[in-house]
Amino acid sequence: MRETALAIEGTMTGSPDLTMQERERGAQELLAFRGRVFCLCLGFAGNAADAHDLAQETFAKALAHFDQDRPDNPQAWILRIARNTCLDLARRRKTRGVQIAVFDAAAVDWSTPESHAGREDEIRVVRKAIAGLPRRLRDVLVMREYAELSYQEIAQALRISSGTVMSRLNRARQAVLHFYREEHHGKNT
Amino acid sequence: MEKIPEGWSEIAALIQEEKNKALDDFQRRGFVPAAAPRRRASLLSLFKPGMGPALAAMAASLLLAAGLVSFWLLRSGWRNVPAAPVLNDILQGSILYRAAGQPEAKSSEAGPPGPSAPYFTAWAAAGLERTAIAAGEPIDPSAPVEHADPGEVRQKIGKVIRENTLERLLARFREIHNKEA
Repeated sequence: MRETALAIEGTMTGSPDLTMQERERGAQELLAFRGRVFCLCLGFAGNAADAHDLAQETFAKALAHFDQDRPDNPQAWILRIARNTCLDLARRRKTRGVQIAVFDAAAVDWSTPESHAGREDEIRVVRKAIAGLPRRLRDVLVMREYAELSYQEIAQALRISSGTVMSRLNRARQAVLHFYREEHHGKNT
Repeated sequence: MEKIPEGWSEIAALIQEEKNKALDDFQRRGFVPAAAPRRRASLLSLFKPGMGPALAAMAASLLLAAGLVSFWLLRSGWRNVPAAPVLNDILQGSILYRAAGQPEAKSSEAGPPGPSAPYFTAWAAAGLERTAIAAGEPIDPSAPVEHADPGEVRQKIGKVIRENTLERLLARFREIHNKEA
């Protein structure tokens, strides 16, 4: 962890105001959120390969601007960058007419062939439901379910109130559940 | 208090499962963020905003210089550029232009004027100096001018030029026209 932090510290833009220790501390602090950043990217991108690339891009941006921005809340700051990076990618792909992968089977290694097929289908339905949500609802749901942020953290990252977070989260879950049940019902009948 | 809809736990479990697998793979591979690509300074970024007029002037000067250089290259130097005749010299060949600066009566009383159309005179003289048609051909007086005796034609034309007959004729026509008007 410390070696990695030292390695990435070298990628941060040098600022005469920041000492080496401050920069190293900043890099370590940011690196602590790599798991959450990756999960958030997974939630938005829908597959591990894209999520990895998006996490890379997020950290590259964050490290380049850390000296300038000096965030009070580094977690909310980097998750905001991650979210914007994911939305940028989705926008770029939409412009180029590339479909976003809803599910990447390579990201999940299932134990038995029978369970593989069944779980894959179910997860595909969930991914499809999440991808079809309006952006406001999807932001909140992905931050809660994938990045495991608290209401307060989501509110800070999205700059909205906790009440709005709760309301949107509830609506998002209802919408996903409705879609999931409809799909299941359609398959069973 | 968080409200969790009934049946959500099943979906949450699916998400958790997918996430755990992907996260394990991510952590196993290790993660070292790459450096952000440094933005290359473009040529345009060297210029400050508000330098538009200065740039336009510079571009116009460059275009002018390029035009002059190409003109010089085409004509192989300035010495080969023929001196353009002065406008006055050109217009001097015109009887109307010359008459405009003089009273009409004076021009008519002055008798036969000197050669007032030097360019026309020079052109006609050059034409008369052409090689004559080979002598010995039979001459037909009734033939058109191009088949007539070149010596005779030359003499007649020379006389017309020397006496400024055409110009005097034109002056006369002008007088008549003015009187009628």
